Amino acid sequence: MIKKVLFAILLLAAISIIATNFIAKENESTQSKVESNQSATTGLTPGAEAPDFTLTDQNGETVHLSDYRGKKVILNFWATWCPPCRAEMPHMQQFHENNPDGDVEILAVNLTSQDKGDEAIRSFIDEFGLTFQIPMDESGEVAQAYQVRTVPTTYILNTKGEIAQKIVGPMDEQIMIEQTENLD
Amino acid sequence: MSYVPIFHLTIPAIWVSVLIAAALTSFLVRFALKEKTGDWLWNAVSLYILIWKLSYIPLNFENFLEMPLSILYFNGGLYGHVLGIVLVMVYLTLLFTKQPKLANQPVFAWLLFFVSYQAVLQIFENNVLEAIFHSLLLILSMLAIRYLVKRADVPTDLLLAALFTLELLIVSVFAPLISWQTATFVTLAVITIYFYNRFTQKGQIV
Repeated sequence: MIKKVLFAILLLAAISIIATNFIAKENESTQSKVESNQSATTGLTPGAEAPDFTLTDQNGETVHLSDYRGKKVILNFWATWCPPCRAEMPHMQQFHENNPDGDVEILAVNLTSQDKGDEAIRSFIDEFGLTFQIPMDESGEVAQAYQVRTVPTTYILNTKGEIAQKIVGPMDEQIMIEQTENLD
Repeated sequence: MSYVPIFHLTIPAIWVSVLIAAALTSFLVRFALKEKTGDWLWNAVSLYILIWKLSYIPLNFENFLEMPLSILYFNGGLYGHVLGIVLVMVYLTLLFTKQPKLANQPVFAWLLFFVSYQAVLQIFENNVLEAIFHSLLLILSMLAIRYLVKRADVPTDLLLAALFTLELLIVSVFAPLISWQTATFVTLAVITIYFYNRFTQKGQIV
């Protein structure tokens, strides 16, 4: 008797697994429509629009965060004196090189006001051969706006400029891939 | 993917859940089987973590040479996970060939570990409903193992297969079915049930 019950449970569960996976696929498209209707407000919580900023990067070019709408953004905050930032840099460069289509943009904001001067930052960039954009936060205002207390801190932004995730601590290439591939 | 803030770092919630579930498992096995969990459990968990963490070195050799401290922050990722699981299986196989009696515990421990891992993880991820389902199945599994395993009219492999499938059903209702997590879960379930059956048929597990 109990044998039959167990077998029935097994069979029912297996059928339900197949059924739920079919239904789940049909529902996906309607769900994403509902989500896109929600309007975001500026803030630092997930779903909120990331605060805009204007900074100058290592090549003297002006960087407006809002110019990156339509692209996913890895917004990283770092300094040359921070060991985990050093550990993270090769992974970030690798991710940047392996993402030639450019649908994910890396903005690695240097905490210039807390760093050891222009020369130290330049030699750091040369040492790791960094080719992504490095906006310089000379006044410290952007780090303050993003409540960066420990470095590295990274915000992952979706194509609408909304915050999807905040990560404190270093990320490797795989984390960057996982964090950005299923993003809108 | 959720993160748990610990001191000044954010740790992925899955790894915190793995550790909590491993700690829980030794208690759950003791309740369900009414016997003490063997050393194999912590050996397997430690072996897995060691391999997963250290595999960062061969997989990212240049980065490691440049910054040996990076081993503190990173791990072998997916390849490290697969390697860790394979070596844990090798360790258990060697152990069982020497002491077949031990093959009794892992098959139950794996189920209880995975269900409690899911329950803890979903609490971290704030998926209350899913966490409740996993917790209910965890209770059901413990009771089923405790009261049905010793009965002659209950085929243990069928009982386990039913419980494993129910867990798979809960997972697939809330997330895509095809994932590395599910693959690991199913593979280990099949292998542990196979070992359990083999040793039971040989009369090495009473």
